[in-house]
Amino acid sequence: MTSRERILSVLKNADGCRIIDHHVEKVTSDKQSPTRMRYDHYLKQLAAERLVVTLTGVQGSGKSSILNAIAFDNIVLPIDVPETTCVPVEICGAVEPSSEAMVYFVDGRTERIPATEENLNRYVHQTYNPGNTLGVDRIVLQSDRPIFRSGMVLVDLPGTGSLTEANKETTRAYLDEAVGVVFVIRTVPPITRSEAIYIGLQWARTPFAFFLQNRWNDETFHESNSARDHNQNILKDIASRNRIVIEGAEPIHVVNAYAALEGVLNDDTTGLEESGLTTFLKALDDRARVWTEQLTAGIAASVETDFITALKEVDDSTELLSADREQIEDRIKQEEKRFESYIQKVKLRQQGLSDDLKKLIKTEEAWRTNWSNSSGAQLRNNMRTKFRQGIIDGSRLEKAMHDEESLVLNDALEHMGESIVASQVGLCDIFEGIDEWKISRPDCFKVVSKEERTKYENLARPILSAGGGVGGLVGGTYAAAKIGAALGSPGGPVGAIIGGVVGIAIGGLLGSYLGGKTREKVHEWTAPEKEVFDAIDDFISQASKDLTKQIGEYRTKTEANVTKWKETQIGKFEAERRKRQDIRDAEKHEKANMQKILEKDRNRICELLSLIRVGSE
Amino acid sequence: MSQTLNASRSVCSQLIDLLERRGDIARVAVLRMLDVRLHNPQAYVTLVGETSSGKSTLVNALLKRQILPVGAQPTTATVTHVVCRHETGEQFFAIYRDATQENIDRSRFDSLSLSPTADLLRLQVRCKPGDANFAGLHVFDTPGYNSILNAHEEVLESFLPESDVVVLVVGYRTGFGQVEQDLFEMVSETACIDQQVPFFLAVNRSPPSAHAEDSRCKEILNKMQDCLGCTPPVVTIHSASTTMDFPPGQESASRIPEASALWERILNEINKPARLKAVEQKLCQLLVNIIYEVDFDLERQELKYEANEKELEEIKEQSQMLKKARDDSLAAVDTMAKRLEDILPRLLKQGIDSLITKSAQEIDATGKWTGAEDCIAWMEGHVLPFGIRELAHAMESFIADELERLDRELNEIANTAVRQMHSRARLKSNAVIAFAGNIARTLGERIGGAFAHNLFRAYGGVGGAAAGAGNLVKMGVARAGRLIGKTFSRQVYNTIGRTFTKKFLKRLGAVVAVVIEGILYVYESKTWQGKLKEKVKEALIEWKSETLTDLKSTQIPAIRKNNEESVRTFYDDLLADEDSGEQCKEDVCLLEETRSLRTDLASLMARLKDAGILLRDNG
Repeated sequence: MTSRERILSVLKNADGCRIIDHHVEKVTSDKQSPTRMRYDHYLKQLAAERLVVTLTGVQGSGKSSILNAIAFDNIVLPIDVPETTCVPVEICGAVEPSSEAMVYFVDGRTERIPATEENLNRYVHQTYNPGNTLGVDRIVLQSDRPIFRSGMVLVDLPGTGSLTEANKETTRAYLDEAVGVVFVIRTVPPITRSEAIYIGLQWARTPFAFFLQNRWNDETFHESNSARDHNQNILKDIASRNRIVIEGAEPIHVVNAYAALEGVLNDDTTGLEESGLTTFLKALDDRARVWTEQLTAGIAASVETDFITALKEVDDSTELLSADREQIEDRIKQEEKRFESYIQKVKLRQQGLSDDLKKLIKTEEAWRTNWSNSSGAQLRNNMRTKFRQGIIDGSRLEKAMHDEESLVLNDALEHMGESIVASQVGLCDIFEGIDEWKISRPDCFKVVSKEERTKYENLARPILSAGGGVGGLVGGTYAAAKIGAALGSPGGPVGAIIGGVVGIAIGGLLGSYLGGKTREKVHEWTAPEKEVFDAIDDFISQASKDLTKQIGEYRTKTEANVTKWKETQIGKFEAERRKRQDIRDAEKHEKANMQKILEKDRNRICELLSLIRVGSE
Repeated sequence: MSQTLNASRSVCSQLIDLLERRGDIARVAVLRMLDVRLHNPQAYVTLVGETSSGKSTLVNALLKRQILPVGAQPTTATVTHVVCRHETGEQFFAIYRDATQENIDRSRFDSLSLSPTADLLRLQVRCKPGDANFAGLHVFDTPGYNSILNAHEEVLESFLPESDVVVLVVGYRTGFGQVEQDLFEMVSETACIDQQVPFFLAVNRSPPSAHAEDSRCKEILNKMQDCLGCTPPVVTIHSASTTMDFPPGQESASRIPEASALWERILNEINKPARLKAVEQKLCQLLVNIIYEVDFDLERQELKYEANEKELEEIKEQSQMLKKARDDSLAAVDTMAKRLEDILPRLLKQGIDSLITKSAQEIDATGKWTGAEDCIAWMEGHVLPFGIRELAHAMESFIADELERLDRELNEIANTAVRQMHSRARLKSNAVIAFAGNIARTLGERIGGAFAHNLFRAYGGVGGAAAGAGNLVKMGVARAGRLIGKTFSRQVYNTIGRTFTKKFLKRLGAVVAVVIEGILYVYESKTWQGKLKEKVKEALIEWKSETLTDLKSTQIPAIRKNNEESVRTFYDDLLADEDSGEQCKEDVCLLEETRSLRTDLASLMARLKDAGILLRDNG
């Protein structure tokens, strides 16, 4: 059996699952099995049916050209579309790829269409599907290129910008599922402030990241190198701002998207190689394959920790069974004391978080007041200038005003994004060193060396966030805590919290909805100044309200996540105490029965553990 | 005056003696100014406003006689510095760009004011104000804001940050138009280096019935608020129709309005106890900074003189590390500037290309439902300036990213050097450790923004100091802040970057106006769209080439130069021996002299401490 097969058999073992439910999760049998859900999630990940890698990049980054070159023999994904409706497009591997694309709608309908640029345009082009009125959830295409053989699924994700409400959730789900991300950046302009925020948020929560810098034909090598140096510096900053562990500078792959596409269309292998795409794909493929191994190792570590903890619980109970009442009482008291000091520590940190968030709300409020004043003034001045230039006609004014509003709004959104990122880093500091509540037995703890820990660091990071989105998959947050525990590193609430709030931050950045909203209000302009200035006031106060709401939501959800996490720990402790009380109050024959069950469980645990351990050695 | 001020005065003059013995010309020059300033209260007032808004008239009103030329035509084409003093008699000076000055007569003064020569920096009048209370006031009358953009920027950037009070002058009848909006937005951006600068809004040439609460003034104030982000007090100055009490025979006197309400308020503002106290503190702090610098200097000298051969060698090695840090810093600045040279033109080209496309689309879309006139207004009023603003914004944030990163890199280089100097000291002898400690403290001070040693350079050397144009109090803040510190180069960016967009727009306005001018009158209903597209393209390409030239020959070199200067200011004086290759002689006399100077300095410090002036912990 390979290590992968062994871990699969452990994950599928119903008995093992019950043991973890009982001894580690401490749930009663009538409840839904959290371990089963988690292990099923692992199974799905290990099955490697899907290794989701997202591609993100702003308009004009060459993302569509690159995807076409990667997956197809001709142009299938529309390129040069000035305004695409943001519909996620998924490309997955198939031995005999279908020549059709599957369109999934929000309401559950599906539709098969020929996989051609012309047909896809009907769903992704702003003209045919403005604001995604068609309600498209996602489009799935197939490709037989070797890059997909590892199970990789490439997803063309809408970047920052206009993500319609309809497929926001789909996008989030893709982000949660993603194990890798390819950021397509431009040579000129190099990474902008909004891009930097977006990259930071997504990079921090995805196991591996690739940076692909597109060089158009009219950009010289010299320019491209210079821009690459600049981008590299920016990435270094983003990494340090987001506490992302990287070794040295993150390499940026320079690819000429146009040349790559030409190479594919003309079957010109040399041209394709010179474009840089081949090298990039090789790196991506290597990474994807290594990732599968890392994932197996990570899951094995997580499951091993489960069983070690279970073993300790079993031994603890066995010991108590032969102890007298007084000894059990002592033990209960001792644990109560230990828990008391643990929970105090958690509460203290929680208070620290609360204070921090309060401060954040305050500084943001001050910032917003300042922003409101200066943006109002700026808008009024800019509109005055336009009046003086003779722009007093209704629709013209409306358009001009909309442009101006989008500028000041963008500033505010960028600022908020940066604040939230900074706040998250602060949050990691606050909870540094706080682990889940767990049984204290000095023996048989798996000691992880420092080197090993670094090795797992990048693994811990992704799992920390995988599936942690709001209402996302169940497994992810557990995995985060579990892996953290296995590594002896802070596996505390941070994973749960960050997973939960990043979604909000991203949601907040996709904020052009605001502009759209206010635009309706200004529709009836006839005479300038007063009406325009009133509209400016409306816009500022509406934007302010929305920003307040966003940041408030960030605070509420963050606090709620911490509270929930804390309550889980309390629940675990209480279950432990109940268990000990049960043993204390049990009759002799009951004890004998318990003893028997424990022995059986112990054997099972050892059996499964040895299966995992052989695998990991 | 307070005790601290008295103590400062005497310490200052003693320090001058001490440094004169040492031949430290640069610091002596700064201290002499400080000395003057400690004895005489001063305040700097700058007047800004549109051409012919009556700024010079307001200054004449302060002097209660016509000294500055006034007229319907623009009469002030250069900055005039009015020094109010107790002595009677008027003296006129021309101050040149090479920091020399010349005593000139009245008629030469008048003619230079109207049409200044290229080498003229500014004019200066020293005279007695109408009311003796105003002695000590330095008033800067600036040229009106018009299309001579670069000249005006220089004016704003050099005078506003150093002003204690800024008077914004708007004509009651002419009101607040686009020119005012552009000017005062710029003023607000330039002045905000020191956010405490008080503004006064002088509504000039108002009819007798006008007052600060009337609708006209309110409208002006409203618009002013949107430029400044604050509400300045409003003072109306009535036209000089009624005669004032002037000696007969002076016809021009009748043209001088009564503006004492304005000047009294300014005087009140200047004499606010809080401000006076802050000024006093700043002056004392400056003195303290200079003392520390001198002490650090002398300590290094002393250590070098005292050191034995082996120690000296190691001290030299340490200086080498410092030298390397400086060279690395300069190299970092160079790399940064080169990246700007590579990327900015590219950004510019790309932005203009897409703006040309966008403009063409807009013009095509327009024709269907409106005419040429409307379309031209739309292009001029929104599409083009908005596009340019977006482009400027992209360029600005690229520069900001580069400078922020450079800032961190420079700080890192400095910190690494300091750490290395400590850890690599092999001898661990007192002299070597003390030397490293001295450098660490000195650099620490500088990172914190204490930069007295650069003030001299900031004044433009001896000549600039003698001309006495700098506001010592403000300079201490603005200059030091503008140098190294947590915001190593951010400040440099601010001074350059903030006005970047404005400059862009101004130039665009000029180009577009010229190119589009004719088209309104000659267009034909069928062909105007094509022609307009061509013209817009032409205008944008011309703008691009002008901007590119400006970037390459002015903006980027300025960024490079400012940062290089920051680095040099940071290290050069510490490396003077290293750079000159001078050997440190073991000179018993020098050692003793240095020691005695340090003893004197220590007693000066003690005096300041006794006087309650806070000395920093020199640990």
